[in-house]
Amino acid sequence: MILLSKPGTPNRYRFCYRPFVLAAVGFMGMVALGHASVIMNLQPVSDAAGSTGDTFDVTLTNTGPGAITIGGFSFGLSVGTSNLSFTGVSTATTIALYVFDAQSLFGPDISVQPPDLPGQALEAEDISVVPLSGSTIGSGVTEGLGHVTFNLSAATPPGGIQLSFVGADDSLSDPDGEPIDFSTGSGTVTVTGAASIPEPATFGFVGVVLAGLLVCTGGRMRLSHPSCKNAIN
Amino acid sequence: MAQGPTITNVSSTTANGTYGAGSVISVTATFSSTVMVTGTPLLALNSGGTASYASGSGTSTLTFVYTVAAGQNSARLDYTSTTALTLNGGTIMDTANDPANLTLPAPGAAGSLGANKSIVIDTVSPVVTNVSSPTANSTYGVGSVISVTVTFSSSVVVTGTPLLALNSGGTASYSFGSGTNTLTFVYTVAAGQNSARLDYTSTAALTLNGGTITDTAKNAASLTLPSPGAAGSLGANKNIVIDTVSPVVTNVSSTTANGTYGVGSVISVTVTFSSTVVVTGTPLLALNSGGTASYASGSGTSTLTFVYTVAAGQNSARLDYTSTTALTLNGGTITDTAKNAASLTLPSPGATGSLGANKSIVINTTPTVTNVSSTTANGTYGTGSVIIVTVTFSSTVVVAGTPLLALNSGGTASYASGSGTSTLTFVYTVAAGQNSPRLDYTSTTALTLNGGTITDIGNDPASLTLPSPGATGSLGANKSIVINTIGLSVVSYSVIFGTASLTYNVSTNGAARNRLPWLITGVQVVFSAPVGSADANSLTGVTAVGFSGLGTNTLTWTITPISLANVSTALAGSGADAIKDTNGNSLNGGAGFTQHFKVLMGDYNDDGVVNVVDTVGVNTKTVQPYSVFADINGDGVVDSNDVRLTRSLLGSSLP
Repeated sequence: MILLSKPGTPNRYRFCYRPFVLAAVGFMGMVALGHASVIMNLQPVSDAAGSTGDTFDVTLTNTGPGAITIGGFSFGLSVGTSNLSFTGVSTATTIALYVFDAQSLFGPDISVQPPDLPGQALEAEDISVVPLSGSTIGSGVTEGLGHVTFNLSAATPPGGIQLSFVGADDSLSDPDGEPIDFSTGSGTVTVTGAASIPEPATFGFVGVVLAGLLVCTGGRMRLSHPSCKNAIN
Repeated sequence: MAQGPTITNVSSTTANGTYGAGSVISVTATFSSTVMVTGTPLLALNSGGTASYASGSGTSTLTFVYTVAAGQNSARLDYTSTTALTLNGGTIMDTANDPANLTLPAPGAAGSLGANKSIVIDTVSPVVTNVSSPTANSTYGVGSVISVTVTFSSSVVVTGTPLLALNSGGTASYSFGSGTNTLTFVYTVAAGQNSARLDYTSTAALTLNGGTITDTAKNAASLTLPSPGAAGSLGANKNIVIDTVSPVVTNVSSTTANGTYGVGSVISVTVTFSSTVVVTGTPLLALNSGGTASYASGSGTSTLTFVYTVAAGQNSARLDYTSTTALTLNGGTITDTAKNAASLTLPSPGATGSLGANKSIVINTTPTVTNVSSTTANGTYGTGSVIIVTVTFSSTVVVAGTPLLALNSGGTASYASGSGTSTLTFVYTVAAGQNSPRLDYTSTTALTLNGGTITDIGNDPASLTLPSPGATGSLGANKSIVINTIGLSVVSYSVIFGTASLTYNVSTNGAARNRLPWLITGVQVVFSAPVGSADANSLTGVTAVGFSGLGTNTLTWTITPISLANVSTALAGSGADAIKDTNGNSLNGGAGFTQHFKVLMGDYNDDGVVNVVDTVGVNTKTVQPYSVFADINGDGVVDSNDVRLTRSLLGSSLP
């Protein structure tokens, strides 16, 4: 279940799609990942073969009953085809505010070298710039962990390209350096032909997700982010 | 008136010569013709005497006889004057009864007695003017021959063997000199005759003993001698001592200190006489050890020194000579300066004045151990080391079999060589588990024959008693040899990491940490003792590129850096690269040492994976007290560099 979106669209749908995103992510987390209360996930996207500068966000959702404070995160992504090449990852998340917005230590480029980019693997990590502090995420809130850019080769056949978290690279830490239990999802980059029209069913699903994301993004509560708190209130 | 006969010549039938009192001199008066004599005409002589007519009447020559009387002397006998012939009441006529003319030729003139003859009239007796001796001043003993000379005032003629009584009790007998004015008497010193200054007994000591001493005029010599000791006496002229008392041994002792002496020792034995003695040759003194002391020095003094060199097999509980007759001349002589042979009788052995009474000298030639040492240098020796122990005896010993020497390390030194000399060599090869802070033998009885023998050259068993351990002459006193086979062990095993080459003791703290979060660049091992043998290859399981510390307790290997690995290292305890202490003891008795550790650089929280938890954890330590596990780059501080370094290692893992 990956929602595809074009770059630049998330901000417009932040608030209006929030209920849908919450529902979708919560559903995926409980169904696919069992009982972890924090989910690290990928934004599903659809791009045409041969396109460049494509993007998707990696997000983190607190599905638990209480707020959690994140001191740092890391993730790694991999893809099984050379038709997709990751080109970078930054703090410029689109479907949700970046988790360490204004307190990133390593941003805005949070990629970790190696791996070499562009390539089929990507690592990213960031922590709070202030030791022993972090970003608090309220229950049900999703925040961005990274804005991934990638290219699709022209030879990419239509269809889905499975994106995976690497596992060993994926981690969450509280401000004291203690691990936070979490689960990861996966995502798909749906490749379309240059003039291809999406399937109706796909369209419908994407539309629902996008709507949800917009609502969710717009309504998230960031306890450590004044603007979010204001939004909640 | 007719002329009577005249005297034409006066002579003598007596030979020319010197005549003394009592001599009868015939004087002849020759007339020019035959004369007839009556009565006893006289002829007065210049000696004071008178010759009386004796015969010749009826011839032309009359003979007068002159008997020399004492006190009459003439250097050339003649008549007193031309009128010296007197008729004395008689007549001298020719046959015609013409009185003869009595006028004599002038004395000394031709036809006179003095002109015709050379007759001396000497009636003065010889007297002794001096008594002396050609024998040198000295002391003379029995058998010595001393010449005594008696000088007269004139030549004397000796008959028989006159004697000269001496104050030594002896007598000098006339030997030669008759016809001269010096007579030589010979005195052979006899036993018991002594004189502090030889002289004759008195002024009458010279006796004729039936002989005569006269001068050539037959005058008996006066035998009166100068008073003894007075000028002209023998005693005044010479200093001759007559000593017939033989030197006797008064004491036998030694200049060698009391003690026990063995083979080769030189003992000086002194023999003291009652007076100075002179030695020829090499007299000997037989000793109760079976040896013999030979004369060495002292002639001309009263003490003779004999030298005794102790030989194998000679023993004496208290050195003395064998008997009172132990002193023998051996072809030489021992006399005093008067040539009196010394009495060689010694004090009875053990009695006062004997060697045994004066000294306590023990002769013991049984080989005894005098010293135990080693030719091995002082130092500490470990397993497999070979220590040479030398046992020195007081004399040559002969060894059969393999005697043993028990050592305080728990080991045993075995006889190796030296038979036929005084020093035996034992070899001790240090075995594991044998230790001694100062190598010595176990006790005074540590030397055992082990079925063999140690004897002197006479096959008498040697004494095996050793000096007390630690005492003078013992191995422990002579040498400082440490036996240490305890071996080498690892005290700590640390890794070296970071730009500051920090260390972390894996062996001590390993259990508290599964993975080391640094870049490991070396291994540093502290041993229980200085390492004498090791090399870069002594550490395996890593790639050593450098090695140092040999000779110290700490060895350091630099290695190809390790950032992620499960490492199993080993320190060699055997083989060519074995780590050994300076005594040759191998690490852990040859078993070596192993150490395992894991390296996951950046794994601050030691969970087996490097992720943001480590990054955050390191970041927290930038504001908290220093944690070496957060000092990922090992520069001694935890800062943003460590945070970024940790982040760069994202995803690394080591289960």
